[in-house]
Amino acid sequence: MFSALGILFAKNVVHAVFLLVMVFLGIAGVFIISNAEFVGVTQIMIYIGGVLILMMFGIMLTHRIDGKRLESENRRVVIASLLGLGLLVVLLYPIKDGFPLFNFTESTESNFTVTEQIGIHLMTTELIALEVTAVLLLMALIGAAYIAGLNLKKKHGTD
Amino acid sequence: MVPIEHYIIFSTILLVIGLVIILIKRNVIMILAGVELILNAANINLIAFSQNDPNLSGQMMTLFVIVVAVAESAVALAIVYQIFRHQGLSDLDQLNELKG
Repeated sequence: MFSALGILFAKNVVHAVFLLVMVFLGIAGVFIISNAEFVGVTQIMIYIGGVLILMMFGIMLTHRIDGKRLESENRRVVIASLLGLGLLVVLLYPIKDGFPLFNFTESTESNFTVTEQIGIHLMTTELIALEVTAVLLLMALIGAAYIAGLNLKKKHGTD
Repeated sequence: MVPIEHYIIFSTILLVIGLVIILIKRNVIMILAGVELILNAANINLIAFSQNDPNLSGQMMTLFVIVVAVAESAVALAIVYQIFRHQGLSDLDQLNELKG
């Protein structure tokens, strides 16, 4: 949480991305302590291994390499901060007396661990969603590669 | 076991920070980072409310949210890279023409 605030205040883009690594690690820790080990490990693998490497590449490719520091300027700070504080108050106001739905009974222990159960659900009840997600991921990756390679192809054609 | 209000407060703070990052920053990559923060806030809520659910539907939803976030950030970074090659800037306020 504090590293998220650090992202907000960080001037340097590279520092901000490393703080984002800290935020994702913290969130993975939250997942793991709240009975969702598989999702926590997936978070670490995908976000820290994939998205942040992608962002580092994005930073390296979209800034000129001339030795000057990569800084991101801010705009409209006061209005946005006021808006954020207002939203925070609005969202946190209803739970100041505790959350009324929290009367869960202890869940019945099943014979499987959480990861086994996730696997079973993925292959039975969520099979259509899994297939659609796979197709979506394929489309997104092919589209990303195509968009990123547009100019290369054009330059190659004119040569 | 952590009370569920703490999860809600944590994810609300993350959501607000992500929103303020999106509103304030002028760099496109920082705006993408804000979007990722907002998606993670949603994931924390899903996990928190599904920790007593024997069907684990919240965790399944979280997995799909993560995958969609990855696809979105890959496409967005490709577009940012192409815009940068075309116009030589990654600053949203200077990006004011469509036909480079």
